[in-house]
Amino acid sequence: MSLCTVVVAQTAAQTVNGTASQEFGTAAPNTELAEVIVTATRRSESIQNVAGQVTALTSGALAQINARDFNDFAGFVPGLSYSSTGPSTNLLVIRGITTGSQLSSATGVYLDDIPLGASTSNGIGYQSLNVNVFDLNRVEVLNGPQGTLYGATSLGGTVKYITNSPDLTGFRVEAGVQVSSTEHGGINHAYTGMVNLPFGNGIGAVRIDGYQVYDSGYAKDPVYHRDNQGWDRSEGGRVSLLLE
Amino acid sequence: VNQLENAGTARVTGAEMAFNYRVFSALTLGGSAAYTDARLTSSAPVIGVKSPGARLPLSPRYNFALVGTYNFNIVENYSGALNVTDRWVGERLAGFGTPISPQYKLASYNVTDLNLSVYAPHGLEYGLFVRNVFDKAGEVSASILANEYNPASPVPVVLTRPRTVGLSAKYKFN
Repeated sequence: MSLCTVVVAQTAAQTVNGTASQEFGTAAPNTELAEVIVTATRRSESIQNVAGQVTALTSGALAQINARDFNDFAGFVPGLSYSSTGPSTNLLVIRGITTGSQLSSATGVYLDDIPLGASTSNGIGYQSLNVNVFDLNRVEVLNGPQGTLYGATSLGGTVKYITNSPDLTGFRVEAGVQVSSTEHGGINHAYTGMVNLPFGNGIGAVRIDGYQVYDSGYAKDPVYHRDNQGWDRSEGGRVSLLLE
Repeated sequence: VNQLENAGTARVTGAEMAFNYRVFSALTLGGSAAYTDARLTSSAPVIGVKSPGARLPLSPRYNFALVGTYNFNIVENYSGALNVTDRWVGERLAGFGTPISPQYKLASYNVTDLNLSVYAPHGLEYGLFVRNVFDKAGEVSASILANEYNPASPVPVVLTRPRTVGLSAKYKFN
C-alpha cells in the first residue's frame, strides 16, 4: 500500500516537472503555477487541501536555490530553525520545540516512510541526519505536533525527505560536478551521480545514487595559529528497487 | 555531569505564511515569513530560568525569506535562469543556560545568494553561483559548555560559510 502511494506521488510530480519545464521555452504565456502534490497526511493530495502548515520544496525549487542540505533550505521554511556545527551535528527545531542536545529529537525526520534516528543515546537531538537533497523528489516540512501520523518524536513537527523512486519507463543518467572557493577558506568540490535502469519490460527498475562532498574549513584557531579548521567530507549513496 | 530536567510547560503562539507568485511567464517571486513567540510558562531554575516567560531556544521571533527567479532565452536552444534569494533570521537563544553559565543570544543575520543557470542542448546545464554575496558572518550556533567551568570564557560561535563563488556542470540523459 505504501509502495502504491509512492508511485502515485511520483507520477503526479512528473506531471508537475513537465509543466515547470515549459517555462524555459518560448511557449504561449503561462502564468499558472504548477500544482504541488504532497503526502503530508500519508496520502497524495494538493498542498492547498492539507489542513495545517506544510511547506513543500520540490526538486525544481531545491535546484533553483542550489540547495544541498537543510542548511540551504531551512531559511525558506517558515517556523523551521536549526543549529549546526558540521554535517554530523545538526539540531532541527520547529516553532521552538526542542529537547536540547541530550535527548531524542522533538522533530521527526523521515526518509520516505522510514523514520530516522533512534530512541537510544545514538539518536539524540543534535545528531539529526544531514540528508543530501540530490535526486530527491521533494522535501516536506510539517509544522506543529504530528504525533497522530508520525509518532513520538514529532512533537515540534516533521521533516520528510522524499526520494525519486525508480522509473520504469526508461534508462536515465545524471551526473554533476561543482567546484567553488570560499573566502577565508579554500576550494570546495562536490560530485553527484544517478543511474536509473529499468528491466524486464516494465517489471521493475533499479535506481542508484551517489555523492561526495568536500567543504573547506573557514575557521581560524587563534591559539595554535591554524587555518582552515572545520573542513568536512561526506559521502553517501542509495539503491532503490521498484517491482510492479 | 549531565542532568535531565523537565522544563515544565510552554506556550507557542505565532503566524506563518508562504507565497509563490508568477508575475509573468518568465518571472516567479516567492517568499515566506514567520512570527513565533515560544515561551516557557513555568520556571526551571536548573536550566537558568528563574521565572516564567523565558523564550524557548532556537526560535527566532521573526524570519523572512524571498526568492526571485527570472527565466530568459539566450540564443536558439539555449536558455537561462537567474535566481536571487535572501534569508533573514532573527535573533534567538542558542540554548538554555544553567545557574552558572548565562544564556547566549545568537545575533540576527541576513544571507543573500545568486544562482545563474544556463540550459544547453543534449541535457547539459551550467551554473555560476555566489553564496553569501555580502560575506556576512551570521551566527548559526553557539556552545556554552566551557562557561560551566569558567563563566568568563569566550563562547565559541559557528558562523555562516563566508562568501563562496563557484561553477557547476550537470549532464542529464533521459
